[in-house]
Amino acid sequence: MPTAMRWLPILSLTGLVCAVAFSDKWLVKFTDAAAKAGLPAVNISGSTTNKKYILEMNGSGLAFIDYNRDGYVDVFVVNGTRLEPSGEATRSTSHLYRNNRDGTFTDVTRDAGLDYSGWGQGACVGDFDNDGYDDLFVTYYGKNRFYHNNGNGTFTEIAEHAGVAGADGRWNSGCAFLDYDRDGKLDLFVANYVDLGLNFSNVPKPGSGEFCQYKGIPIACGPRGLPTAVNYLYHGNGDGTFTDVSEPSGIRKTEGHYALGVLTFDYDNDGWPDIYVACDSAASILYHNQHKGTFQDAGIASGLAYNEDGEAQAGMGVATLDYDHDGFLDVVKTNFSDDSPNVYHNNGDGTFSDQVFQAGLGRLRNLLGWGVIAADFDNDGWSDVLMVNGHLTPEIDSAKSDSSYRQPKLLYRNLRDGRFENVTSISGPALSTPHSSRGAATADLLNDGRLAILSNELHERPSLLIPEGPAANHWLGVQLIGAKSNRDGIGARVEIQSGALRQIDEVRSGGSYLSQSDLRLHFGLGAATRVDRMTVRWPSGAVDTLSAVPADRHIVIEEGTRSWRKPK
Amino acid sequence: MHQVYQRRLTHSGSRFDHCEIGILRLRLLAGILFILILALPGRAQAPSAEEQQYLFSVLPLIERGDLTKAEDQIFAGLERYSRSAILYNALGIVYTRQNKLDKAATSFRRALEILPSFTAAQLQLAALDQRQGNKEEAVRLFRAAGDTTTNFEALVAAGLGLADCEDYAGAARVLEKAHEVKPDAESVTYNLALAQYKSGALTSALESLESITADRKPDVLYLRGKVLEGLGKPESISPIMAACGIQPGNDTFCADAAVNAIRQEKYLEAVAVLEPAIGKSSGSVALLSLLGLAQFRLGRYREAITSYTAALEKDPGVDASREGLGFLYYVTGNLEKARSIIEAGLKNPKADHYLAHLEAMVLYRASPRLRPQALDAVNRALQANAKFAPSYFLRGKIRMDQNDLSGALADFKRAVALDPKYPLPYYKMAQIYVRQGRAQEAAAARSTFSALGSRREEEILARQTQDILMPVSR
Repeated sequence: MPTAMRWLPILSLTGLVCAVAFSDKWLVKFTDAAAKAGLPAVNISGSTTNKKYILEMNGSGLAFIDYNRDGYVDVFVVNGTRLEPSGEATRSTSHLYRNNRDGTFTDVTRDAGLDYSGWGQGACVGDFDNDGYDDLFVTYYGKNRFYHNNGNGTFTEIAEHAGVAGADGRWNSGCAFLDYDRDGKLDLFVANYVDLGLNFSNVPKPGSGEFCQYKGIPIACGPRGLPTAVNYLYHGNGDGTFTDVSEPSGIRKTEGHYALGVLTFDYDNDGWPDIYVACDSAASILYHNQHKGTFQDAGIASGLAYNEDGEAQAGMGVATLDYDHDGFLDVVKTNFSDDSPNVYHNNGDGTFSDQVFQAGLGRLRNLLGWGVIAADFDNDGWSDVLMVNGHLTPEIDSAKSDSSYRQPKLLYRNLRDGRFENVTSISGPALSTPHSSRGAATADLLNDGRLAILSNELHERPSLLIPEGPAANHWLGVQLIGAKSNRDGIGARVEIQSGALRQIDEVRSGGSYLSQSDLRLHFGLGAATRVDRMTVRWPSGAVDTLSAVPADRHIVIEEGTRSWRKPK
Repeated sequence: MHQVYQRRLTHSGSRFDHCEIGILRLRLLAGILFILILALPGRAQAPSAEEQQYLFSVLPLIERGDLTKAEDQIFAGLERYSRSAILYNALGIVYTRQNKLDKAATSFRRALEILPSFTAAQLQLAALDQRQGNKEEAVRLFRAAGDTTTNFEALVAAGLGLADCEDYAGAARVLEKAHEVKPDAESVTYNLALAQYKSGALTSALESLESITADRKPDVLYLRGKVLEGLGKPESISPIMAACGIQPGNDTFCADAAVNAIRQEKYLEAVAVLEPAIGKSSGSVALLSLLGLAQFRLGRYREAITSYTAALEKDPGVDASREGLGFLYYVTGNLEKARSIIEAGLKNPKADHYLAHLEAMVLYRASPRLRPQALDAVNRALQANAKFAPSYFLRGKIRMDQNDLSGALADFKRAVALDPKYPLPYYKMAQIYVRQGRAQEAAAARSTFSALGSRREEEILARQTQDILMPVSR
C-alpha cells in the first residue's frame, strides 16, 4: 500500500483554473522528415509477404540516446534480419544516426561499432557504469548485445562479460535499466516473449492449428500455443558486471506470460521503482517492489493484469502519465485489434481502474497498437497520448476486415477532465499515413521544446514526425545527473508546480514498445513562463527543491546542488 | 422428383420450423389414394367382376369432375350391389371432392364395415381424419393400412400419412416396407431417410441416404447435411453448403449453411454463402442478420452494421437484428448510437431481456454518472430472465462501483452458480475479497479464475450474442 501522501483532489479546481487559459485550438502538426533528415535504412523483419513465424511479425523498437554527449539526442533504430539468405549484397543491421543539430542525421553505425546483424528486438539506455556516457542495451532473439559507450563515439560490446547476454534461442523483448534496490548502480530488467528455442522445426506451420489463423486466414502461429518464456532481472554489481537475480528477487515466480513492453515506474508513490510488463494473450505483470530486493506480482490485485472485467488482452506497448494530475501515475497500454487499449487510472490505493471508454480511447477497435508515448505535445501542461499501429502481416488485408496491415497512428489530446480527444486528423497527414508501425519514442531533437516522434515501420524506413512551426506554449526540459544516485537519475521523481498546474514524471529507461524515449524529462507549462517550484526525489532518497525556474529551456540538475544550470 | 414429395415450410422472416424439412401433402396423398381405389388386402375377398366393371364406368366421371353424375351412378350401382365396399369407397371420394366431409366419412366407414381391412378405405378415412384434426384415429388407420398391405403405393401413402401426423417412427417403419418393395425408388428412400431423421434414427437415416446419388440434388444434400449435423459431424457443413450453392435462392438451405459455418467459426465461408443468397432472394431478416454476424466475427464492422441495419429496416420488430446492431455499436465504441438503437426497441413492452441487458452494458460503459440508469436496466433484464448469468455479473460490477460490496458479491456468486464455467465473476470476487481483507478467499477466487481461463469479455459477449442471434435468425 502507498506510504506517501496523496495530493488533495484538486482536479475540479485545476480544471476551472485551466479552463480560463484553455484554447480549443490544437495547433500541433507533424511532418514526416525521415527521408530529408537522412534516416533511410529500411526495416528488415523476415519475409515481407509470406511470414512463416511470429518472429517475423513483431518488428523492433528504437532508442533516443545522446551517445556523444553533445546535448543533442541521437537516434538508434533496431533492426531484424531474415530467416533465409536473401541473396542481397548487404546484411541488415541496426542503425545509429548522429544528430547533426540541423534537423539532419548521419549514419554512424559502422564507425560506432554497432554494425551487428541479428534479430534485434528492443533497446534501452542507461549509464550503467556512471561514467557520464549513456550505454546501450539491445535485446535480440538470441543473445543480447550490451554496448558500453567508450566516450569517443564508439561502443564496445560487453554482454557476455557483463553477464547479460542470455542464451541462444531466448526471445528477449522489452528491457529497462532501473535501480530497484536504490544502491546507486543501475540494474537491468529484460522481458522474454516466447520460448521459441533454437529449432523452428517444432513450430507449427501457418494455418495448422487454432492459434495459427486470423479470421480464417492462415498466419504464423502464436504466441498462444507456443511455450511461454521467463523474464530476467540482473543486479548491477558496480564493476561492469551483473548478477542474474531473477530467482531470488521473485521475478521468476510469475510464469505463463508472453512478455513484451516494459515500464518502470513508482505506481504507489513509495519511492521504490516497480516494473510493469505488458503481456500478449496473458495476464500482464506488475512487479511490486518489496524494498528488500524482491518483487511480488501485484498484477491481479492492482487491476493491471487484465482489463476491467478480468479479461486477458494482447498487451504490446506501455506508457505512464498522470493524466488527471492527481499525483499518481496512470498507465496506458496498447493491445491487439478487435479490442481496446487500456487507460488504467491509478486510484491511489494500490489499485487501478480501466477507464478507456470514459477517457475516450476505446472507440477504434480496428487498430492493432504497439508503441505508445505519453507526452505533452502541445506543451499545455497535460500529457497527451500517441499510439502507433499496424497489423501482423500483409496477408491480413485479404481478410477484408476493417483492420489492415498498414494503419494510421493515433494522437489523443488530453482534455484536462479525464477525457481525451482524437486529434489525429488535424495533426498533419503524416500521422494518418498508414504504416505497419512497431516501436515508437519521443525526444526534443533540436532542444527547442518541440517533441518529435520516431516510429519503427515494418519493412519501411522509420517515420520521423517533426512538429511544424515553433513550440506552442511554454515548456521546460530537465536532465538529471545523479551523484549518490545513478548518474542518469533513472527512477527519480520530479514534481513541478507552475501556477495551479502540478505535474509529475520520472526519469525512465525503456518503455513504449521495446523502445527508449529521451531520458530528459519534458514538461509543458501552458501560459506559465516559469516553474514556481520543482522537487526532485532522487533514487538515493535525497530531495532537491528548486524554485523560480525559467521556462523554455533545457536545464540540468545535479543531485544535491538544489540548483539548476544550463547544459554544457 | 424428390421435390414433389416435399414441402418446406416457408420462411416467415422470423423462425423456421424446428426441422425445416416437411413431408408430403394431403393433395398429393389424395391423388395417390385415388389410384389406390381398388387396393385391397391380400387375403380380402375380391369384389366381383361386375362390381369392378361398374366402378370402372364411374371413375372417368370422377376424374373429369363430373361429381353429381358420378354420385348418381354410384347410387344406381349400390342399388344393384348393396354391400359393395368399393362403391362406398368411391362414393366417399366423390363426397370428399365435393367437400361433403361428413358424408364422405360415413361412406368410408360403411366400406370398412363391409370390408374391415379394405386398405383404400382405411387410407381415405385416415386422410379425412387427419384433415379434420383427428390425428389419433388417422394414425391408427394409417398404421393398420401399412401393417396389412404390401401394395407399394399404399405403403407410400400410409408412410407419408403417418409422417403428416408426425408419427415419424411409424412412417419410417412403413416406408421401410415400401423401400423393400422397390429399393430403386429414390423418392421413397429419401422420404424414408427423412422419417428416420425426424424420428431421431440418425445412423439409419445416413445409411438410407447412402443409396441415393446426391449430385445436384439439393434436397438430398441438405438432408444429408442435417443428419450429419445431428450426428455431430463437422463435415455436415459441406453438403448443406452445396445445397445452398445449387439453390442460392433457398433461404433455408443458405441460412442453415451459414449457421453451420458460423458455429464452426468458418466466417469467410459463411459470408461466401450468404452474399449470393441475399442477392438471389430479397434478403430475409434471417440471412441479413447471419451475414451481419459473420461480418462482425471477421472484424468487418462497417459491413456488419450495414447488414444489421438492413435487417432492422426490413422488420423493426425483430429483436435479434436490433440486438446485433446495438451490440456492434457497443463494441465499436459508438455508445450514443448503440443506446438509441436499443432504447427504440425497448419501447416494445415485450422486448427480449437481452435488449435490456445490452442497454445496461452501454450505460455502464458510457459514463460513471449513468450507473443508476444502468442498474435500473439490468434489473429489468433480470426481471425478464432471472437465469442469465451475465446480467448478474454486470449488476455486480455496478454495485461494486457503488461500493455495495456485499450486493456485488452476491451477484457474482449467483452468476457463477448459474454458469460455473464463467470466469469473470471470480476475478471481481477476488478483488472484493482483497478489499475486505479476506486473503484466503481472494486467493481461492483467483485460482478458480485462472483455472477457468480469462477469455476476453467481448469474446464471451460475442459468443453470447451469436448464441442468442442464431436461433432467432433461424
